[in-house]
Amino acid sequence: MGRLDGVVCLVTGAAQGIGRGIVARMAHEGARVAVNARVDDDRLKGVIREMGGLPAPADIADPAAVKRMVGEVEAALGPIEVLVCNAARMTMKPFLEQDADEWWDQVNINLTGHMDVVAAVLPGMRRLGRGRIVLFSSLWGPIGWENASGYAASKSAIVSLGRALGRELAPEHIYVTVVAPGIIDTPQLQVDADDAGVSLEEMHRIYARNIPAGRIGTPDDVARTVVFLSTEAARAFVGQTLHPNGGEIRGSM
Amino acid sequence: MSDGGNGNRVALVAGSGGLLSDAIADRLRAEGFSVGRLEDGDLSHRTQTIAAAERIAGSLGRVSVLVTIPTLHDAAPFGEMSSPRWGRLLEAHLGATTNACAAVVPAMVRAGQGTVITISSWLALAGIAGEAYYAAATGSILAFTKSFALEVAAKGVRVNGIAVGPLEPAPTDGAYVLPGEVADTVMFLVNDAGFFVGQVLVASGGALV
Repeated sequence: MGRLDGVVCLVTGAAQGIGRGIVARMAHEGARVAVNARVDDDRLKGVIREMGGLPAPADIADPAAVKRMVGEVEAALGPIEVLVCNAARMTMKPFLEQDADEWWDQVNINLTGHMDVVAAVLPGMRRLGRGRIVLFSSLWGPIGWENASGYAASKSAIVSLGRALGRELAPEHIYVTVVAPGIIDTPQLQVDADDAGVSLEEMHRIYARNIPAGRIGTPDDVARTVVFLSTEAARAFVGQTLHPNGGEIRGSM
Repeated sequence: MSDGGNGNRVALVAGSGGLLSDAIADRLRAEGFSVGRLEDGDLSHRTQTIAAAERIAGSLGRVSVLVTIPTLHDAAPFGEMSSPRWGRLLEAHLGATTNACAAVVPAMVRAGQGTVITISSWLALAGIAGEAYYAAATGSILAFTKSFALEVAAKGVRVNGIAVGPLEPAPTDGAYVLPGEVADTVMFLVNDAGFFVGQVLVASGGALV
């Protein structure tokens, strides 16, 4: 018996990387997963082919598309009980050299877009009388990172959004928590490598040297945390941020 | 279910008395662990702790999970606790936690595998008037956990902590946590938290957000 047998879950940004790992782990635990990606391309089709689930393409930055997508998922699977807000955009440039649209694009997807997703999913959770929302921050949110000011600002805001929504929704048995992953082995690391002017392999080595665990994380490291937070076993957590980062930072909040 | 590297399923719960230690020991047993207990008397002197841990490892096998659970509570307005009384409080928290780690972790390091979970109180983070001594004693566990975690992480031993919220309805806003919910959090750290190092999870049921 899986820990999410029959539970309807929506994972945003799940065609690759951490999101794909979350879909795999949730499917393994028996969930009925709606798999969001910006476009319905070969990567999304590949995830569905491999792990099952319902394709749910939509650009998270487009409020109308988000509303339509959530409606389609609910029509096909019923109300969403677990929402995982994983989709993210990061472009690295010095603050003064980054075009304002490009800077705000990151905030519009990482923060504002997911506020629209939460708003679209909440009425269904209220009808169910329960729900779990897992927001995604990042190691680079709380500590900041050079050439990633837009990304860091959006991801830091998510920690506060999680606290506020956690307080606000807990009385309705809708539990909001946040995951702030450290350096994880995903295609996104190529962006970091390009910014640092090194090869992807060298980037992996540089990161691993600074991680107390001695390695970078895997998407499944994060997916296991998300599955925990998606179940009643995580009842002790309201608005909290969990940090699977190999020990790179060791905050308590 | 566990493939978190806990091939030999022997756990040691350090700290006696209280609902929390029983709930955690029971849950570990339910998940298939043989569970040894270190009583408070074993934890007050380093040599005694080492001897007790060796006896347990001798009968149950190598310990792969250590959970430290200090239970002594004592409070007084700051300035009104005698030195011996404060000494006992600090011994019961930082002393017992570090004695248990010193007794159990060397064998984990030799095996290149193991996980330690230190239990502390949310008061370490929140603070509360009249609890300065207790908050300082339990707060010292947080700082120890984070530093010790960095010393042994590369040797395959994961050290993390749980700052536990009020265990009964709080007088003000009513948020609290149940012993079983803390046990659920322990099992997460044992089974599914392979990339957690030096983290202190705040399991408070919303008492501290």
